[in-house]
Amino acid sequence: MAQRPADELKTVSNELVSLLRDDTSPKEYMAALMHQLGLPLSTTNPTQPWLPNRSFDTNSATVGIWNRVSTTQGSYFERTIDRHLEWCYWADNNRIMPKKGRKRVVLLGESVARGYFFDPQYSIAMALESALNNPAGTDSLEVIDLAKVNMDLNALREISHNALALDPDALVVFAGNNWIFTLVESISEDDYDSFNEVIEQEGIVGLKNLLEQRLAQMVRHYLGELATLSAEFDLPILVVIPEFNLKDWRSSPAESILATSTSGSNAEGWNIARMQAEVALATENWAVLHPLAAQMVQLDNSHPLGYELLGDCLAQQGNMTEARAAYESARDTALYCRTHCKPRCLKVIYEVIRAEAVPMGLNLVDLPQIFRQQPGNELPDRDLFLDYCHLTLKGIVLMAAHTSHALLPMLNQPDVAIDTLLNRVVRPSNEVLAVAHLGCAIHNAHYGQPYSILYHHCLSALQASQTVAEAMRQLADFATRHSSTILCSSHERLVESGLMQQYDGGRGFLHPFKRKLMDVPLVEAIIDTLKTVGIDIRDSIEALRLREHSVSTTATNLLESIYHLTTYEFILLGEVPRGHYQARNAESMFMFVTDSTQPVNGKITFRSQGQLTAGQTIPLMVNGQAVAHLPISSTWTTCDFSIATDHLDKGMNTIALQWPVQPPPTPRRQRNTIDALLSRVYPALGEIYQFTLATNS
Amino acid sequence: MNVIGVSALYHNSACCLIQDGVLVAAVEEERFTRIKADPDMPQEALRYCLEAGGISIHDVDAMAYYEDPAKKLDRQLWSGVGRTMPNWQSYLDVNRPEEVMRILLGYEGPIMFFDHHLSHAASSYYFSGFEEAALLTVDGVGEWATTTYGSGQGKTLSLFEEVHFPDSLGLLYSTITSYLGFGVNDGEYKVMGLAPYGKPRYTDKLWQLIKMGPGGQYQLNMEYFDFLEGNRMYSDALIDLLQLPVRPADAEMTQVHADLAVSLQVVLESVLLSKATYLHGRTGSSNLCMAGGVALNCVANGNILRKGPFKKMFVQPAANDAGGALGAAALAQVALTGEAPVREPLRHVYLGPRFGRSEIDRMLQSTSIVYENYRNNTDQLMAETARRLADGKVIGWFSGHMEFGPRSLGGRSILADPRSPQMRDLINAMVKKREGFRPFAPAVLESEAHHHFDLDHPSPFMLETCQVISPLDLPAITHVDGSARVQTVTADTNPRFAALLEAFNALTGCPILLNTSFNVKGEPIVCTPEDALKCFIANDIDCLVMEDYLIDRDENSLDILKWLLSTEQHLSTVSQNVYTFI
Repeated sequence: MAQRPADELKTVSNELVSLLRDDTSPKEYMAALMHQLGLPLSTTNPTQPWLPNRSFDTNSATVGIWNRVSTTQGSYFERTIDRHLEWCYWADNNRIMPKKGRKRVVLLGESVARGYFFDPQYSIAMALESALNNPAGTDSLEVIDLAKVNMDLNALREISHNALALDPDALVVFAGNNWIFTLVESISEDDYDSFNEVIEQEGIVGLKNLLEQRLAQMVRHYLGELATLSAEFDLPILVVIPEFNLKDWRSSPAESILATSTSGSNAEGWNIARMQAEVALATENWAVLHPLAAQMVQLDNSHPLGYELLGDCLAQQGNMTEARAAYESARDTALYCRTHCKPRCLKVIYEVIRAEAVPMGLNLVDLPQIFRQQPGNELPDRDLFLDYCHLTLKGIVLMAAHTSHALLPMLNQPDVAIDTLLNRVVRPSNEVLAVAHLGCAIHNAHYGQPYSILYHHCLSALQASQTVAEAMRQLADFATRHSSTILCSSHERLVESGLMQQYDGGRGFLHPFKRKLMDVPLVEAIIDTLKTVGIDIRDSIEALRLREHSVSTTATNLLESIYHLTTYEFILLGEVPRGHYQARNAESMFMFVTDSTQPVNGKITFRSQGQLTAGQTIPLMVNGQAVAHLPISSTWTTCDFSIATDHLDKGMNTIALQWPVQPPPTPRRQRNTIDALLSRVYPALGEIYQFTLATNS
Repeated sequence: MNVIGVSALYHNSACCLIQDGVLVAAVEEERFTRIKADPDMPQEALRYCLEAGGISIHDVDAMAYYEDPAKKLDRQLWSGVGRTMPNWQSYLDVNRPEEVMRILLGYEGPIMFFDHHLSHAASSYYFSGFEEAALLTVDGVGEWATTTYGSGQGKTLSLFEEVHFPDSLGLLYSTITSYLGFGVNDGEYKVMGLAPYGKPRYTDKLWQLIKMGPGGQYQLNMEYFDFLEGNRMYSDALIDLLQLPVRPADAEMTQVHADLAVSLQVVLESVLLSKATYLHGRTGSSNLCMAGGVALNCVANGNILRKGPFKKMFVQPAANDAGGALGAAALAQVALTGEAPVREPLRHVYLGPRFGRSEIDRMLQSTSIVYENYRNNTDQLMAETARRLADGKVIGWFSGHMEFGPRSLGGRSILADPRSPQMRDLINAMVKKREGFRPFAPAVLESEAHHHFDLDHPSPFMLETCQVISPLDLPAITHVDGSARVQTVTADTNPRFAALLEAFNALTGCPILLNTSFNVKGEPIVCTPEDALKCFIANDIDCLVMEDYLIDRDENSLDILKWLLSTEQHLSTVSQNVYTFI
């Protein structure tokens, strides 16, 4: 039963509301009023250590999606139907039988350890098991696959303990790429004050340092738990440090938004340097590019692009050590919290593992070091990686051989030469290899990678097997259509074929937030690579584009995702989406399609929160040419414009706005939340409420 | 003059546009986001309203918000609601609604705030067409008020008495709703549907929960309630009083549950009738305008009109919090111009988006769906649809503008033959997946209504119940007590729906169709052609009529699409709860 609060307290609550309206109200008096109202005053303390204290079960009845089934003959683990929606994240294995005769290695890890893009047709566990066993003898070792797509550090902690229920002789932990997400999840509103203070005092770099310290604590904590397990159960544990595609993975649009509030006027200088650098890069003028890249790093060391370009220049000079350092810095800018980055093993993670795992009694395979020692792989690139962290077949074979080499003595098995182990590793069929490359081409496209990478993987797919040609044709069809992918007949046929099971069980084409992308660079890569095998779909796709998207008398809304989104990432970390388009980069690019026979009329309602001068305009670019200069204001303004036919191309066109790169003079009042804080660091430079195109007839 | 009304940040967020005094658009945000009862600021709904009015964001003269954040916070602090929630202090922000409107909606102009119940009252009065009326609003709680009494005269509206939190008829009803195993703010209409199956054996006990006061006042006996603590609605004392175990959500529904439901309904109707009589005495008006969530209790409304002193009644069709947007906008219109919105009775609620034939055509051509195109052949489409209905088929009906409010009225409806004895169970099994005791409602040609229902006036919004007097046997739409919640249809406001009813009447002699909302359990009513197609594919609806296009399930193989849609639902659920790393 709840007591009705006293009526007299209404004057207290009323006074408190009045005080809450004013930021300068006396805090102690407000606290006294809250006390009278029975409201708790203390805020929760940030959780330390950063991983929750939990006890885990080493004789669990549940291991991942498998539940223990006890029979009179013993017990085994069976996949539970209750969790069938999660099955696709784990090994496609219905039962884990009791150990019989063979020594058992249990593999734990994330999507990399699943062999993402190859799984379920081929996996790291398969590769590892084949390397561990002498093909001439009887199999004496088995590998139980408990790796899981999307495994975060807390889930990994749990299954590291639960796995003991399977009676392993050794554990292999191939993880670290997803730990940054556990770090991000640990951030709460309780961190607001400390984050705000460190950004105020040290700039955005202070935030990175603070988060690195927290992540290091997390890693130490987990290694300590593994060491305890190893000692307590006399269980050898091997930790495999993952590597990142340093040379070829490029920051996506969301990963490379501008920081303006903490670097002041440098953002404008940075943007000028960027534009000059892009020109130098296009002409491969390394001598010009190098100082520009260095300048970009100096002006904004939180931004990945300067480091990436610097890495390119240094690699071009053959200075691989410094190039690696630059690329690693680019990778680690994920700690500046621009967006939900793609998985990656950060420097702080592998440094803690390298320094502390072995002294704790754990064993180590240092994949970055192993890759580095391979001829031609001083800098990891597309030769070893399908995307940011998932391995190519070559990468998988190397990983499996070197891990086996480390495991065999731990299992009291005779030593085997690396070359022998490399030869032992089983390979997938060419058809599986082709699908893996096509799947990764799609994935790379959806996370902002350039045409050259997409072309490389599409071509690799076709070179492996032309069985994927029809899938590529279907992909080009449904990407080009306006309707949701899930409803398109070409998508339905592709799913029905079962060919793409390696890409999220055939469901990898569905946008997690139900947005639609036109995937133009990917479709162009498909068109171009299909042509190399004698299949020409350009005319049909361009005709379809015109049918589906051509600007007509009915207004085309360029704010629809299909006309401006190029990746699956579209928001700042944790930010609540707005009812209008926000630009956090210097340029906003949109796409439209015309038959170019008629002029196109446009209407735009937009504003900039940057510091503007009287009468300031911004250029409106169509296909790279300025067609108008629009007067810009800090309040919503609607402008009409017209695009003459001589500025239009038949088919795909681009239309872009270039925003003033200046921070807002006075950030709009926002609540004291982490999201709001990051939004102040990476503010919207421009906003668009309405952007439409139409023809007169 | 463009005035936007907004209700948000609790549940059922919505937006409307009053343009030069005319209500031109109104829509709930949930229809776009596909999140049932979405409470978030109505970004998409606003975008639609601006598009419908042919204006941009800077053309809005004022934005009107449907409650007063300071008064609401005052009540929340006093009552301690939320103090058991983590981070409760983050809610101590009087400026939150304005801040969210500025940031998320991007709105730069003036924002006006109106009291919650004043917004409810205005949402009914200004769209009633009455020159003067008595006003009664009843819901769970707004700021402090839970029930208000007022009067409207010309363009002026005022409230003269309030009942304050925690004394609340809405919370009384929600408490028993929760006791019966239904969701608060979601299951109240299920209790109303369950009531006719019961005998009022618990009324004496339920009268111990509420004490009638002088004038418009009443008081809850808080011994029996626990909602001030925020964890559950009822207290242990209520369990002791009723001597009836609390029904778990998935437990079997038995006679005692129906008995409790009808007892609650009896108590509610009695209180409302008493207070309506008081209101009539204070105002002397013969017209009554009602709004607030409790005003969606159409059985109680019918009781007030039949047994009470008022001659005419108007209930705003979106009487819940979504409708607060209408009232706030109307109040702003009066404040800014000195003129009330155009004084005509609300004739329809087809105030949401509509979609062109070319858009539907483009979508269907992308799919593997086999369909018939009846463009320029509406008569044949109606005849084919009527024939399928007469054959016992269940039809998904997507036509014209979407409805505002919780009722589907022939814009986004599922239709069936009301004469079929199996139809109720069939629709429940294939689409609605809801409790078997709940009745379905009929839509009838207005010109034929009096032959089949004890109704002497139009009922375009499905907000009144009356007795079925039809010579036809109508088991699918007749409730256990012989009543039905009728929608009357005219060609004037929905010509295609009227044409279908005409076609069905011509074929069968029955001018009535079963009409239920085009959605599945737990989802909002469909909005776009894609929503409709997905709902059709994912469920076992026999046919889908989208404007000129007719799709028969029998002609299609939909297994793969159905599986994919279940997958998408899972992906969507995952995306809303956790971020996938890959």
